[in-house]
Amino acid sequence: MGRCGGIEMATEGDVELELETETSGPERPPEKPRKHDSGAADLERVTDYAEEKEIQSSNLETAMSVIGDRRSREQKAKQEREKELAKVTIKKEDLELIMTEMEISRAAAERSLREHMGNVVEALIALTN
Amino acid sequence: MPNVQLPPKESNLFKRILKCYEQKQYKNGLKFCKMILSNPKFAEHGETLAMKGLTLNCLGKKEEAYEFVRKGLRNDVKSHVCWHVYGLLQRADKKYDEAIKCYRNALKLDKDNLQILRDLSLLQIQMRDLEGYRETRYQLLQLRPTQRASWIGYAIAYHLLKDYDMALKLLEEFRQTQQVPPNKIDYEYSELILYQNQVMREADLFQESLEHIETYEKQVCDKLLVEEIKGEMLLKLGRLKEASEVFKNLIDRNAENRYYYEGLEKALQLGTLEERLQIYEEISQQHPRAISPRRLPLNLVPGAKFRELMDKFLRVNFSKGCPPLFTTLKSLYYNTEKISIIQELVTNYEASLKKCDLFSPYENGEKEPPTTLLWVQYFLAQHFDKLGQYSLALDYINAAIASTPTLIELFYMKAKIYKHIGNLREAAKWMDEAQSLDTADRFVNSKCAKYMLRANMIKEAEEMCSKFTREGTSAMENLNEMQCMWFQTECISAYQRLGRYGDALKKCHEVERHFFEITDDQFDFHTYCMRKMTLRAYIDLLRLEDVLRRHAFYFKAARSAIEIYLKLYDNPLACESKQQEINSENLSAKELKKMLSKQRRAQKKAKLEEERKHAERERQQKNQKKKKDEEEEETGDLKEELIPEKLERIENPLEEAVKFLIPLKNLVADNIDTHLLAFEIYFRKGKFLLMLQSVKRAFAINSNNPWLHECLIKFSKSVSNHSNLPDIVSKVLSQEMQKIFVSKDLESFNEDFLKRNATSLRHLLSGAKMMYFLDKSRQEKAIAIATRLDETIKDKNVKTLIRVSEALLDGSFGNCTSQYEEYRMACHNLLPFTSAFLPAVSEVHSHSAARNHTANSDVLANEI
Repeated sequence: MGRCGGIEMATEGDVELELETETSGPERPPEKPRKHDSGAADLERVTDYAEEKEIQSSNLETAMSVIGDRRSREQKAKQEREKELAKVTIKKEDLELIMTEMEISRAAAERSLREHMGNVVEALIALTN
Repeated sequence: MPNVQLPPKESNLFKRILKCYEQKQYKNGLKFCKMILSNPKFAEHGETLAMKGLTLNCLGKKEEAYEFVRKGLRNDVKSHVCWHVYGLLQRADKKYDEAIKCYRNALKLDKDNLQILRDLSLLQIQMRDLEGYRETRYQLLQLRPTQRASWIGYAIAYHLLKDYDMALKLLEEFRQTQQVPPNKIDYEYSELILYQNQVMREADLFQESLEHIETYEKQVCDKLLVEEIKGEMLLKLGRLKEASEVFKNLIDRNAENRYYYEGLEKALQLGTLEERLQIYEEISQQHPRAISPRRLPLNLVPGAKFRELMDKFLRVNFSKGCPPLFTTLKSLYYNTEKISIIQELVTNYEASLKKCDLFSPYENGEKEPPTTLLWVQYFLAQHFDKLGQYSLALDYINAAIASTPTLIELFYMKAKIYKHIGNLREAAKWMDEAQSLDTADRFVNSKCAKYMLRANMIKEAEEMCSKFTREGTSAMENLNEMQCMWFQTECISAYQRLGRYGDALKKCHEVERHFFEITDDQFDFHTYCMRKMTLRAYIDLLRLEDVLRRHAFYFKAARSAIEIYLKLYDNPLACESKQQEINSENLSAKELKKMLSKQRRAQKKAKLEEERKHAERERQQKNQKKKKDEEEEETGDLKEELIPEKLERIENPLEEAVKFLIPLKNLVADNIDTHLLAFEIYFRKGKFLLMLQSVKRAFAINSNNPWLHECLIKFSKSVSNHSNLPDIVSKVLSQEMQKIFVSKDLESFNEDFLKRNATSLRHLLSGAKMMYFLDKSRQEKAIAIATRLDETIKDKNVKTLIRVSEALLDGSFGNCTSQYEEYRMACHNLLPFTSAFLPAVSEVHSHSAARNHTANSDVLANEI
């Protein structure tokens, strides 16, 4: 059963990076007292600026066209769905009732009402599930 | 002021300012700004002013930063740079919605600005606007198809939206552009392969995944993972022979990984028990020191074979002196047959070892060293503690301590036993003894602090922790800084038990802030991980952050916060003086004078206490400020200070409670307590449909839950009392409640519940409380039911008995002090060690009274 001693956590900036070189010359520098590496320096470097890496390739056109096709299909499907929902008529009082009773946003309340074809009772029952 | 174009010299300087900002060379950046602005022609140049502000913000001078940026923006409203910078400032202040607005304005002015698009995409992924993120990533890809990050980012967007086809197409395209020589191992390429494979597995494309990993395995760094993937995929594809080979190899690498054993069993599909045991036996021969092949069969075998294997297993481990032996076997303790076999074996060992140092008196052989008896006694203490036979457990642990008074585990166990008995002070005392035996052991130190907190010894706990926390600050502050949430959640419970609601709420908010920070910290990693190609870790991070508040620490803090806010709503603190005014009208002049002087003395005392606390706080703040001034200027934002007195006198406790509730509703919807807490809140807010939602959800999880039962009755009563609800609401209510109550009247509903749960004290308590609630004249009968202690009751344990006695005190059964006394004595006979039932005033008794604030003003007055 190992019992390790509690080590003081040194925070904020006072971290020393020990680069140990195995090349043992005639004189070795005295070992600096080690402090606990809290990783603060590494964390700082996360936000350092770095150049973005580039790809060497000439064959990007086919890939891009495939993507383009896909996207237009996605857009169309989404628009159709929205159109369907927009056709449903809903009443303002129903919308307000849902918002007050269920404490949800206007957008969420509206969506729920439209998905239940404007039937407020059904919408509420679904929302309480 | 019209936008002045900078001439070449200044324009270069401006470019250098931007570079300095990117390279984090802030002092240089400011110098260049000064050079431009000191020229009177350009002193009002919008963009330079904005950049100056941005640089100042990075140096921590937030006020000035905002000034300069706003000024710059005013001077040059059509500059996308200014809007961009303003957005950056907002983002640094975590005002993400505002920041997005600023970026969108900037984009209106410069549609294809890469930097702005990048920053926008970061915010979108931070806020998990996945559709928006995908759109922005598409634009970035169109503008810069040669940049790595464009492809990766776009692929990740599709992955997160679960559109695996697209994601895989993109990743494959990208992979093909990576020119990595086939014999070399490149870490980033390896990570890319593994990420691609992970997406395939998530898309259930097992065949593709297997082929993929086999094609590229030479170039993957993580060889172990490759094997694990192969094993998993072979299993999924039904190629069991090959799978079994893979798992056998994995077990050779690591014989303690249970997942490999599971895989092997699935692959071999052996029918009989003997065949399965044979496999474990073989593996054990090959790996004689491995525990798993000896431990896992114990889960499988019954009866006599179990006895044989267990005997072997126990003897080896007792001789060796294995402290976590009980912990390894604990999972078997659901099976009564196995429990009795273990008990028989080990008690026999104990008797035999005491007599003749052998495991069995009928054997010959080498004598066991004295430590074997020690570990056997230690095991028996744990065993009987688990079974609830506490005095026997104490006997064994004391015997062990008598022979070896320096072993920390023994005192630790003794403390645990006392904790289970319900004598928390004694438990803390023994844990203190344990930690004193090795003051360099932080684990035992922390355990001691926790036990002290359980015993409501908050000051002592803080002192205990201070032995390891940073010097110069108080332990409480340092532990908050270090996000030490186990400590904070225990403090919350302790303060709650003591009725110190303000202090408890302060800690609840501190925990909530930690979760906010942890969520916020992911921001920098959106760019970093994509650059470093550590994509699997990145996806894991995103998924973790999505469900962060599912963690038990948040649940504990949120639950306590909600409970406290509900209490404060029911009994607000500020109204105490009013209540005493009302009472004073009924007193004679002499009594009035006495009461007033008592009040004045109490007020004076409270004031002195306030002043002392205030002085202490100021002193600490001064120390803190000194420290802060000495160190580098921080760019951290200053959160509003949490003051206990203000927190417990909040104006709208229910709204605060809802803030804690919402993440629970979203993330911990499978825990019935979430919905029951929600019910309690909405009940007080009078939101009937939300009450309905809560009980419906709770009902779906466990329709027989006692707390739910109470909520259902209160709910139904409340609905029938409110005749003026809107039509639609009534309609929904009647339709949905039908499914739960099935048109029964409430009395019969309650009777059914009591009948259904006649042997469970927890349920009987709830049913009895409701019996009294529905009809106060049935008080006697209700109390009789709740205080049943006959043989048929299955759960007469410490926790439940304490719950019943608290209910008798807190008004759930009206006035019943004599019945409480009777009950207390009966419980004391059953559980002689438990503090809560000891005669005369013990701390636990008065503290539990404090926790249950009743309408009885005498109790309230005593607590001031």
